[in-house]
Amino acid sequence: MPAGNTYKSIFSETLTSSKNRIDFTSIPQNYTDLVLVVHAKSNVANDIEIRINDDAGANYSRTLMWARAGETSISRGTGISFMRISNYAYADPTHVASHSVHFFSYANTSIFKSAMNLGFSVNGIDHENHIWRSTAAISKLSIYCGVPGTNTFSAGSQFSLYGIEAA
Amino acid sequence: MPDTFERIGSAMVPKGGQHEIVFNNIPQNYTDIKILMSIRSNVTIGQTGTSQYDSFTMWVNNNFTAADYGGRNFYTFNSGPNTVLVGGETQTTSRQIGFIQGGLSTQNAFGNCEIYIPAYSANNIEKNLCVQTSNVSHVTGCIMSYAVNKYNSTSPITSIGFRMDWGNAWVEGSYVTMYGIRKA
Repeated sequence: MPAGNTYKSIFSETLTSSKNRIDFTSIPQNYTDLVLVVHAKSNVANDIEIRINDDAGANYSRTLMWARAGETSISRGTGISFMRISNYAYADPTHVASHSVHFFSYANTSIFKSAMNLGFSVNGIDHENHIWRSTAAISKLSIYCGVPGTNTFSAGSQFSLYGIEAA
Repeated sequence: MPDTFERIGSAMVPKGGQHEIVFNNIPQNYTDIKILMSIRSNVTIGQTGTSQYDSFTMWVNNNFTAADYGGRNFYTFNSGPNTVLVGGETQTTSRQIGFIQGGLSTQNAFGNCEIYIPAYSANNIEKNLCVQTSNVSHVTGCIMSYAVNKYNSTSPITSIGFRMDWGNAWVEGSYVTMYGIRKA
């Protein structure tokens, strides 16, 4: 299968020691969408959070459905100061969490940005949709372990960013 | 520009069906693996008892020790007019990962499955087998599922196998393709 200029690896980082934050900066603007793949464990049970372009304002909202032991439900959150991509598909010291986050039209400066993610962990499974209420192009993604800055991802955790180009 | 989303293996089920599909010697020069499946079972008596669906199992590195796997699934199941949401089932001793069309679902309808394995070649973190399946029958019944199966080993994944449960087989025309998503 010939590879076009799509699903191209932009950044990839594998931790050799624990770290509380991963930054992908100067994201090129020549793709249609971005896909962020997170495969991580953490020092304590923690959600995985993202901030876009260092925006710490209450500009993030999400709708999600989730499953954990013996229970499923749906919920939503608005006016949040970060994009929380895990609900029950969270990381902890023994359970690795795998998330794939698709950012749509990330370079379009006319629309708010939306993202969809699917997260898997033995702790639970999440399917979430997000909106970031900004028309700015996404040029930086910061991935945090817990409420920004509080805990750490473990060594071996891997973070990858891919660019998806329009046909 | 590195090649990425590159096909690294495929299997087409021949006439007569096939009970098991195995990919060996998986190259280690990618970041992640994605597997896409278009599959149908020959089941006549399946797990649900309706024969509209069947389940299948996945393993890695020829490891069949159930205790080395654990996971969770989340699925919707429609049988007739009512939809039942079943979720959060813990799988501590099973490697069963999904459901596919069974022999009593609409003729010639195949089920779809996507499996994503991040960091499959890493040697310092456990692996998650992340699975989505969806099936629809024109007559009655459909099923969608999300499942995760954690492989409790930090060894790189060098082989992956699939097997129909209950001794059943995939029918002719079922196919499985494996893609590598390359490192930067």
